[in-house]
Amino acid sequence: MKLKTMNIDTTNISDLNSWRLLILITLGSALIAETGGATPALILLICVAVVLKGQLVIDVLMDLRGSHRAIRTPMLAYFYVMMPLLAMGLLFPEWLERLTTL
Amino acid sequence: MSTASLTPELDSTAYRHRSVPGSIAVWVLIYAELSEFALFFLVYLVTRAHNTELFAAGPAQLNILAGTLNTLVLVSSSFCVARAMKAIQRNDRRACIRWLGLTIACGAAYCGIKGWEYLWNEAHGLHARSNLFFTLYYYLTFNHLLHVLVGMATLSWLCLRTWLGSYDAEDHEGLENGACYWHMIDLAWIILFPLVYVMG
Repeated sequence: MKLKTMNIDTTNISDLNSWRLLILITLGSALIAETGGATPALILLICVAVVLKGQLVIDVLMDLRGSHRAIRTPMLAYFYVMMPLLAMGLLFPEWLERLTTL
Repeated sequence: MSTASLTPELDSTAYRHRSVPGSIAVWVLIYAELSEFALFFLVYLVTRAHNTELFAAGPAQLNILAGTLNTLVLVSSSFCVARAMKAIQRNDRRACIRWLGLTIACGAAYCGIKGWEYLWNEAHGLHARSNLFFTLYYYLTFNHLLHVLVGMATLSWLCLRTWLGSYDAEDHEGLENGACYWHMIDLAWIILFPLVYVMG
C-alpha cells in the first residue's frame, strides 16, 4: 500500500522520546507563528510538522504500531491526505475560491 | 493443516497484528468525530479562500501564547494517558490512577488557559461577531473545548472505576476506549492549532 511506504518509521521511538519530539515541534511552530508572515515554504514546513506530530501520536502514544491496518491506515490517512489538501487550499486560495463560487 | 494455523490467536505475533486498542464502537465514534472536525477545517479553508485579507490578518490578533500552552498541555496529556495504559497493562492500578489524574489535570489546565484566552480576547475587543474569522475561530475552538470537557468527564469516571478495581491487566477495554477518545481530541487540536493560530 502506498501509505505504508510513505509514512515515517516510528518503530524505535519510545513514548517519552515521542513526547519530547512533540514538544519540540510545537515550540518550533509557535516560534514561526511569532515571527509573523506564513510564507509558502513555512506553510509546507508546518504541514510536514503536523503530519509528523500526528504519526507520533497515532503510532507511539495510541500504540497503533502493528495494529490492524483497517484501523491504523484511516488514522494515518487523516493526516497524509488532510494536510496536503489544507496546504493546497492555503497556498492557492484563488483556485479554491473559483472552485467554490456558485 | 495444523491446529496452530487454525487458531492464530495462539500466536502472539499474529494476535498483536490483529489487536486494536479499544472496542469497535469507540473507533466508529472516533472516525465520526474526526470527520466532523475535517468538515469544519474544509469550511474554514473555503471561507478563507473567499476572505483572504480578513483571514491573513486574523491570526496576528490571536493570543499565540495561549494556543501554544494549550498545545503543550494537550500533547503532555496524551503522554500521560499513554503511560496510564502502560501501567494498567502491568496491573499497577495506583500508577494508572496517578497518570489518569495527571491527564485530567492537563485537561483542566487546557480549560483554564482557554478561559484566559477568551477573557484576553474580550479585553482586546475580539468577539465571535467581530468578523468571519473570529466567528469560525470561536466555533472551532469552543467545539474543541466541549470535546475536552466530555473527555475529562469520561476519564474521571474511568479513574473511579479503576480505583474500584474494575480494570486489570487482562480486562481494561473501557480504559482503552477512554484513552483512544482522549488521543482523538489531541489529534484534532494538532491540526486546529497551526491552521487557525499559525497559518491563518
